[in-house]
Amino acid sequence: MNNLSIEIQDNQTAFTPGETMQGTAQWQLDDIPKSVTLNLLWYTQGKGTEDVSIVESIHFDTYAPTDQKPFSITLPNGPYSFSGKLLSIIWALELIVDKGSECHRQEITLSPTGQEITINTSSATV
Amino acid sequence: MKSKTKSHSGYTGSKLDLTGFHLMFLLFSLALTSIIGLSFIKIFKTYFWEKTHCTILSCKIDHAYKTESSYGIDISYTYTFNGQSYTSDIYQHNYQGSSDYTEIKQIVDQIINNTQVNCYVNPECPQEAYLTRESLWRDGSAILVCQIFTAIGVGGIVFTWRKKNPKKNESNKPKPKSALVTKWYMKPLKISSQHQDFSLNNKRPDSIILKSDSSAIKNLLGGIFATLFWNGIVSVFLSLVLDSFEKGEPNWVLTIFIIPFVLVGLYLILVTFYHFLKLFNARPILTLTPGVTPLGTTTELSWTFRGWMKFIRHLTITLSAREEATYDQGSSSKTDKHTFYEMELFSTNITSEMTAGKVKCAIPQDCMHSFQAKHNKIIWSINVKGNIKLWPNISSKFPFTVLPTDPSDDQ
Amino acid sequence: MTLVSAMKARDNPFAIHRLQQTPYHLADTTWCDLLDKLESFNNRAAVIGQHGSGKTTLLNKLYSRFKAMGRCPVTAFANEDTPLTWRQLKQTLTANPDRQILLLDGACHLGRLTWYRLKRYTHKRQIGLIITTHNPGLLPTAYHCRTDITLLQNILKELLPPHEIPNETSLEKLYQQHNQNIREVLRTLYDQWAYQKK
Repeated sequence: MNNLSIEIQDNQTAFTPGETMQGTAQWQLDDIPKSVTLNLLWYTQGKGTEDVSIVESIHFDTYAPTDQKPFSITLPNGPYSFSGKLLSIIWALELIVDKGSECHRQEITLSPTGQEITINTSSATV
Repeated sequence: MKSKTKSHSGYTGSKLDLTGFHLMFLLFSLALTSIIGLSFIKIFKTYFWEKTHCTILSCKIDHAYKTESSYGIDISYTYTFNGQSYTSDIYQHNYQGSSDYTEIKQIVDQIINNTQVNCYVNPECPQEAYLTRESLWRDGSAILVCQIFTAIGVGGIVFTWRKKNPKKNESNKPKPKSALVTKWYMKPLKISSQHQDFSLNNKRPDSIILKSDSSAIKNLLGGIFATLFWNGIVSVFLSLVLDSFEKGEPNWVLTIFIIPFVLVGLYLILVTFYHFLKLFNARPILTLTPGVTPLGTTTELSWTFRGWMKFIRHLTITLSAREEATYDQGSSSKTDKHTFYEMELFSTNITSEMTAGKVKCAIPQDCMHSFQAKHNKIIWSINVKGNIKLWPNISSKFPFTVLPTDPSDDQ
Repeated sequence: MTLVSAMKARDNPFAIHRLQQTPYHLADTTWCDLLDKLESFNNRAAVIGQHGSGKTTLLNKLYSRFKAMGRCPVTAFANEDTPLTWRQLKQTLTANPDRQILLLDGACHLGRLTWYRLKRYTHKRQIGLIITTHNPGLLPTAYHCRTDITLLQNILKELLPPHEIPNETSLEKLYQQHNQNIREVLRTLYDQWAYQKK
């Protein structure tokens, strides 16, 4: 049984822009993986077609079916984690084995307050 | 290098499709221009024919000219050219007659009552003579209308072959893979190859002049193009309808069919006229100082107007932020917009206060900064609205970039 | 000005990612029969239907089915604003050497020349070509997507808890208002849900 996980230091899930995130990527696989990649990405959800952007990608050189690798990523200034009426911007770490045959994803929040930015709005839609 | 060549040839496929489409316009206009052009040249030549005195032998109304309900002129006249006498029975080149009896009677009476009648003789072939010359206006204007199609054809072909493939560079770059792309969704999601620059250290311009997201001239030119294109096509059918009415045989089916198209044409004329009037509106020029605006900072907005100001009754300047989401499933794309922040910065109905001024513009701290992806956007803008009585109002949006909070400013 | 707390876009039951997760309701046929029919056309067939009738959604589901069957499908998407060029299509096909079927959404938006080149290219290489289009004619029709109020109700059952599903009268009204275009109905419902307090 394949098992992937991402452990972030102190189980932190909220980060401020520019903060460095440290953690460990772990996997237990039945077969030797051809590639293991950790992506830092944001994607959108809502009324529009989804957009995805991979901000940083770490490729682990490994030939072991069970392994763990530390990582350290400095988060960018933006975009902030956001939810409005039409779109949400969601940040995530994603561990991918063999171009997506196995995947584990962990959402994080990026904003100065550590909270997702939300809007209070009038009911006007243009 | 190989892929570059391949990509070029591949793109050529759709270019050929577009070229074929525009070529049809070009060929159609060239064919029409040459038919009308031949007639135009023939009429134009008569303007170089010699004016010669002639004697009317007979002149009366033809009661069944070409069709039973149209009237023509049955005429015969004699003239002398280069010492030789000739007779002609042509009133005018390609004369179509008229369904209006009074009009024909007036012409006939005029010819009979006039003692000094002249005709126009072809010096190269003196047997050929017309009593009057046809106006160049009708064929001339028809040729001009045809040139709209020529312009579309030529312009389309030139534009097709000049425009660069916007995705060319993007597609050549290796794209990072995400499980989001391969696992969750069926469609390959477009991964942005260019990351939006949220860095605050590199660029700190002292001030920035904002650009409006719409241009009065572009709107007007767009309106003119649409109006000429639409009405150019409709006019062909409209002239057929008018001809049928002139001949006294109204084509009711075509008349009813063409009414909605004519109405759309009239609407386009009104819209174009509206944009033409808007051209004379005063144009706001906005400057933000400093030019970089992170969340939670205050910037100074200054404005001036170029053009006539005295007719503006009320001026409002607002700061707003909106979400935009484009959905392109199926055969169409739809963009929804939603304003989530709006703050009035300035409002007045005193003309002297409108012409120029400065106002503090505070960007809220706990809000969302500007964001731009392929389908989803957050757009901040300064909106200027000026109400003018009996004239199109001023309404311009000036988008600008609000950056995330500067981490170095955190205390 | 009344301030309303908008529902987060990601939580909206009518957000695109939620709609894409709903199962597809086939009318008058089963998945087995449809896949057999496609096979009988050598997987070179068309899914036809009007705007918002569920052609793209069906193609999504076919993608999953073909993938599960190990048929290595690849996808391409065209519409009025993003017409595909032959280069882009060829790139999609050549980038996936194992591909056996191309699922093309919006075939009617391809240029004529591009369409003929794609048809010839896939035919020569025995690559399946399943397309969606508004009208029949490009390839033999394998399935005609039609909408009705029951289909809309079934979709809503997947997206909403029973007590939140609008009553039949208001649904029927909404359905007719949008000319039986279910996609547009779901977009309107997105807006209605967006202002529900969460």
